[in-house]
Amino acid sequence: MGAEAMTFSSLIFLFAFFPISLLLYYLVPQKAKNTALVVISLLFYAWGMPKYMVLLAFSIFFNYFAGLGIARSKAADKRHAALTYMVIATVVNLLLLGFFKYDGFLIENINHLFHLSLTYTPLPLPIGISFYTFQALSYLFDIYMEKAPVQENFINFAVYVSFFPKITSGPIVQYHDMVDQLTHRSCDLVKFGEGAKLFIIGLGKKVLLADGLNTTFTAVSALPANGISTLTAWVGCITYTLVIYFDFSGYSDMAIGLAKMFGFDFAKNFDYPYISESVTEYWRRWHISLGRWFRDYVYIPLGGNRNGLAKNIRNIIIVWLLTGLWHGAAWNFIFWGGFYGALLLLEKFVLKDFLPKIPAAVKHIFTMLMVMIGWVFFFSPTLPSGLLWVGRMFGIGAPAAADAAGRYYLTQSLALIIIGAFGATPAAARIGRGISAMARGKYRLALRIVSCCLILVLSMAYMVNSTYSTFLYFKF
Amino acid sequence: MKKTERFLIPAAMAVCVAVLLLFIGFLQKSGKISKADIKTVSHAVTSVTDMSQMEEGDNSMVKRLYGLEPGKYNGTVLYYPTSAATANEILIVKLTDIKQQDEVKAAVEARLAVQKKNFNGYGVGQYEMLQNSVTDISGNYVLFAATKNAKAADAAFQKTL
Amino acid sequence: MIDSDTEASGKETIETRRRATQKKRALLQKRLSILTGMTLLVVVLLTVIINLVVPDKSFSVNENRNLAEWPKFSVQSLLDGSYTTGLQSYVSDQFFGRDGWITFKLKQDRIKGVQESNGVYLGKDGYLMEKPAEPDNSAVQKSIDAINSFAEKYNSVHMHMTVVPNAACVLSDKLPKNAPVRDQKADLANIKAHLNQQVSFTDVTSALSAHKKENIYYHTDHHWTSLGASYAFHAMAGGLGIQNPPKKCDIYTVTNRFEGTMASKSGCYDYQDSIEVYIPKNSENSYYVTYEDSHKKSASLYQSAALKAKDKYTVFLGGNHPLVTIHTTNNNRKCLLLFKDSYANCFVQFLTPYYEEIILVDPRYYYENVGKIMSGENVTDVLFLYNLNTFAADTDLADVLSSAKITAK
Repeated sequence: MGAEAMTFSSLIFLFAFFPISLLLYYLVPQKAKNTALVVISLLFYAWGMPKYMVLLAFSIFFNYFAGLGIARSKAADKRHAALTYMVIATVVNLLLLGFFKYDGFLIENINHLFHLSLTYTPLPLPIGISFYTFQALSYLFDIYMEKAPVQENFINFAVYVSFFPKITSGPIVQYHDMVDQLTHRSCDLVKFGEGAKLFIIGLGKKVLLADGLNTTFTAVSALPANGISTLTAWVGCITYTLVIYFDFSGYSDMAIGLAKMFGFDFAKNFDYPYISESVTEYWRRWHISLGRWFRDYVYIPLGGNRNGLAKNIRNIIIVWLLTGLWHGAAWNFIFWGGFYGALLLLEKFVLKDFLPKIPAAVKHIFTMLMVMIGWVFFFSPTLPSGLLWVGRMFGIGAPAAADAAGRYYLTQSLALIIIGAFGATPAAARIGRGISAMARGKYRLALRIVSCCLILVLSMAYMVNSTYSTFLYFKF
Repeated sequence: MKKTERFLIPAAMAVCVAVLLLFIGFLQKSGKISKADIKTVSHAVTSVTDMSQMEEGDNSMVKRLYGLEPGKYNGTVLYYPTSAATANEILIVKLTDIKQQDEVKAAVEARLAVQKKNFNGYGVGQYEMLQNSVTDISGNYVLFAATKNAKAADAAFQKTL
Repeated sequence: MIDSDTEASGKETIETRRRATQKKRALLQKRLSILTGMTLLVVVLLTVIINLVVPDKSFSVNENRNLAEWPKFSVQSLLDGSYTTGLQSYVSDQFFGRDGWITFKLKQDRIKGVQESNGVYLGKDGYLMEKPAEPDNSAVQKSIDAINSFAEKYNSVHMHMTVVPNAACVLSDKLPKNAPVRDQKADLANIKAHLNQQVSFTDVTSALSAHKKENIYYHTDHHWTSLGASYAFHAMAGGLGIQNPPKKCDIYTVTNRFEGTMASKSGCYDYQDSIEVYIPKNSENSYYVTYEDSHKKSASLYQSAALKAKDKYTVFLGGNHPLVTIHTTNNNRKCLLLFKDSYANCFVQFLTPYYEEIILVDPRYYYENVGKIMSGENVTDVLFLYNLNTFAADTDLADVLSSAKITAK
């Protein structure tokens, strides 16, 4: 087994790295806390792929100096120089991301188009490069747009870029949202407990729900093409829909919870996306930090909706193709982004007047249908295979409506599907609070302790059993 | 102050980029996929080496000496010592997947350690040869050469890739 | 006026009461948060302490492998990531109660309706059946080609082959409902189709299926029982040139507490198997067994020391050895060379009355030149006996057989 980065749901993290880093952080005096964070974060990042720490170090140093360049030029009223710094730095950052993530995709397409046979050396994708590059860009843009002052303190800047809870898989925290907390943050037992609660819930979501459903999904997606009935195709699609939500939102919960335990407050990254009644609403609830990043740094600078209809449509299309591309270096991801872009355009310009008249339940079902079909394109290795899968879901090209394998995988996953579908709605949390409220006094406290221990202990069993279960958004 | 800053900041950025490019170059080399045929590579290596004390080994010999499963790779070539008193050995492995680098490296290191233990205190020349042996992991090719002029073997190896 | 006063004061009390409840609620929430934080810390710290206190284990019986120890530090290992990977393996491998956690995970899964665990189907009546693997077609073809060449080279020797289907194929009615399983019968037919005429292939699937209601496979292990082997033996006897073998044997139960490989793999310890030893009734002849690797000689095929260990199936021949030779007092000049995996270990007990010498070669551990055996030992029969799951991925047989080619020059 090759080297792999640390995940929050691993034994080494929870029972070695986490307690040691907490201890270190809280023992160290206030002035040194940020330095401690940088050390901890670099160690976390270097775990598994130590060589790639050079890339992270590069990002920190290079963008630190670039930020200084932009700010000094602005201070000296040299707007041209400031722009040059920003453009060059942005280009370098994007080239870095492009080289490690998109080189294969680019070269293969060039070869295909121009009948060349250029070669490239496939290099393993550095963990989190999409995330920390976007955060570095957020810094540069914020300095340039004067949303935040330049960060003169190198260590503080390093904390922003490398902070381990968010470095591997987000949330993508914009610089101006975090800058004050770099120097002014505190954590008391209450805040620590709030972070702990988020972390425990996230752990349960990932380990107990996502990983469990993922075994079914993996088995289904490994079936030969002619062995996938309509039932099986639906089971695969539904399990994946739940897996990616609980995996990603669970991981975000853990990230935000961890950050809180170190004193940082980050905005939530998911807001029950599967109760959305329109695709527009969905993207305000799913991977919120990414949507905000594209809105603040691409859509709005391009003019947003302020320069007329044609430009508005153009901007939306650009943002959505880029969003798709960000998720992966392949045509099916770009298609997936374009798919959503088209739906959003439809809702915004064509269906605008009809939508309020349609009953909520219908809108909800239709939205979920679009989302699930979108996921098929997301998990399919190629565009044609995605289309085939969707076809099977609607009876086209499937050997049967239901077969033994389909029934088997359904029974395997039914309990988790029901729990998952329910847990993806706010109703679950409401009921949880209701039950908790029914208990009085010290029983309520005891109930909280018991439920936390329960989630932890149940999760530990799975963590021991799997030596390795990667969070899906890792290689982004 | 402003003047030095005007120079220092771009200079610092340029230094960062230079280091980055060096690093990428290093990664490229260690990850380079060669299309060379393993027979060509092994021929290049053996032609610059004194092969008189080695004989060619088959799959079971590779398994026995290194614990590696030849079927997993795109080709293995082994020359092992004809007599138990010498340590001349060449192993060339063409990987099917770059991820196999770690396991092959571990196997070579283990073999080298065993041989060193065997010859420590015995044949000074043999022990020295083992100490000067070359283990070269270059993308999808791995070379282990415990020979009198291992560096020449390595150079020939690199050239053919 | 009195009304507005009471009204005002009434509103005040409502307001103050609301604020009071809000304060109480906020305080409660704060208390709950603090408790949550404390709980997390306590659970983590407790686990860390237990892990530090509990001594390290070097070997896992259930996983049948060495458990990772604290990795040796070197700058090199730190740089290439092997040190951190080693630490990670160490922490997971040395986690306290590892085996118990795996069983606990299995219990959780079963409650959720899952009917398989780590590649093992949790079947009916306590049967744990390994999911048949997808065959490596190129490896299988290489093996068959090697067998064919071997048969051509030694064309004066009788060549036989049997590949035994696994429990998931024969005991298909014990599988969980609707469980998808590979069609091993088709795989066997495919193997037979590619073999030369010189190699006589016996398919024992129907012989085993006829007795599928009996205990022909272990519940908790991937092997077949001696009973299953006996039915296969009777199906294969004719092909091997053995006339009218006696149907009955002396049967001795050597243990009732066998928990095999499938139990370890899945973490399910609900069932315990019994192991029977079959002594053919016509074996007045005696034999001795030579284990080439340990140079030990034994007067019995069975090693009772194994019954005290975890893998009690190794009572047969003490497990797998590269080369085992059995000499009997039979003077019929028949010498059998048996290329095998572990399924043959409990099969050999049926063969001893019919050969003067039986040579067992396990290609996974055998590095010598098999050509020497063929020429040196006057082999009259060769039998390839494998179970399909192992054969479908095996590359060692082809290697060992082709080693015979090199020296024949």
